[in-house]
Amino acid sequence: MDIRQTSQTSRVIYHLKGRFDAHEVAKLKGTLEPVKQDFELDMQGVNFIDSSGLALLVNLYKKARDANVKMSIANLQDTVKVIFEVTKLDMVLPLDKSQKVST
Amino acid sequence: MQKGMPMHIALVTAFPPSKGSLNEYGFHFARALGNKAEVRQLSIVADTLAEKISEAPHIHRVWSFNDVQTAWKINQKLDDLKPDAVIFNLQFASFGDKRIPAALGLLAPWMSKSKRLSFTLLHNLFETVDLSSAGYAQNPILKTAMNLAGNAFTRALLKSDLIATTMPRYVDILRETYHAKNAFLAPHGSFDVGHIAPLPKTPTVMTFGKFGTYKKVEVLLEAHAELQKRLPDVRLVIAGSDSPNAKGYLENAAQQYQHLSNVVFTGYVAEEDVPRIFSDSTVVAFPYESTTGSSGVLHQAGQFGRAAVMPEIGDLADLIADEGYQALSFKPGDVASLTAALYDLLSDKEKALALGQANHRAASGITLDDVADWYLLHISRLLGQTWTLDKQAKQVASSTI
Repeated sequence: MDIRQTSQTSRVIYHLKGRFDAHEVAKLKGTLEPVKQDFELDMQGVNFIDSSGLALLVNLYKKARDANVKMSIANLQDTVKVIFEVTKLDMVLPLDKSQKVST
Repeated sequence: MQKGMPMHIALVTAFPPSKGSLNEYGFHFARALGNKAEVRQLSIVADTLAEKISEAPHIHRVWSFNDVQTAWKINQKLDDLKPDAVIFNLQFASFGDKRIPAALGLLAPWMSKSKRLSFTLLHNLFETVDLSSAGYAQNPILKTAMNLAGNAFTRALLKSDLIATTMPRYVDILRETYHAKNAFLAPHGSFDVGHIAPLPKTPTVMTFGKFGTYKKVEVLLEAHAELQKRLPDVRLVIAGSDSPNAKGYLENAAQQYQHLSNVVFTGYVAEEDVPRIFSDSTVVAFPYESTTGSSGVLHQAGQFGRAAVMPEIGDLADLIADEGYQALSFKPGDVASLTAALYDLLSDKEKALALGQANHRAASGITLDDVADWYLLHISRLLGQTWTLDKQAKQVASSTI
């Protein structure tokens, strides 16, 4: 997985690309933690996510919530959106639905 | 949205030292829930034991296997406990191996729903179980009757506020066949993931579970005989006991294959002995003819960093695809194919280690601790609450579980 980082006023945007699975979780975790600053995960380039990837998102969300940090997840591809829907995590995780959803 | 106080959660489950189905999962799930700051109090509504033992006060021994009053007894206890939410940890035979008590027990979530938030974690579906090979229906008429009953009781379970399954395919079935909008996927999760122990010096094949219905050891014993021709010191460990539907099966198998050397039948494996059983193995074999849900044993193989040899069948293949596990495969029931896959790993330690490490990464990726977070987020949402971290308010320490 490729991770590119940009900044926007008071928050960091992580642009993710590739597969988001059990074998990539450690790399992403190392980049995103500790959670200290508002951040967005731009998942436009993510074409696959498995339960390990979802678990990391839940974990990050809890840490962000406890640290009073704002987290958002944006630009889900349709294949990834389906996974969020089947786990109903789309109802609990902070998805930014205002952004254009890529196909 | 209101700010929430930590919750009181009840977990209905078989619980050790009971040997009831899903007792290990219940134990680890309880521990994960009990460790959460969002959980003020955890009550375990467990199955009764043959002999009374001293246990922590939050473990309530309430219901009995094959008791037709199980659903009523569980709900009476829940009325007393008054939890904010209850989670039922179930598979379709959790409450009995006799059809009527097993089925009546499955009404418990439906009875609970009108009084409190009720979640069901359903580890298998009637639709995906080969009832004949699982030992539940041996003739076509009985099979049809059981399928109809299974359909009716699945509908009853779907009366829960939310119903979780551990396989994506099960969610599809519940949504497509039953038009269930409250079904969702919550992965099985692995138990405590620690370091990977070195592989044993003696090449050892281990299989783990309750045997005699769809888990058969004959093919493995035949493969062991073949392996001994090339690896004379190879060991085979058959860890576990008979399925409730196949009493006496392992004893018969042991007698039938008593001419084979280096075969160990361990009998029931207590929770504290599980790490040793896995660490002492080179490869974990799955001599299954069908499956009844996500494999707890594969998650344990991952937890202990062990390679797996698995049949090419539905749920296991799904698990590998969905959760990142890796395994060598064999044709179900085919001795030559199983022997070849086992030899491949037993003769190449590096390969066995690499597969074990891949499974360890998969297991580390989603633990039961992570899965517990998913449940609590869903419960919080349905209770209309957002939770603040208040560790001081937490009353149940993990050490009491």
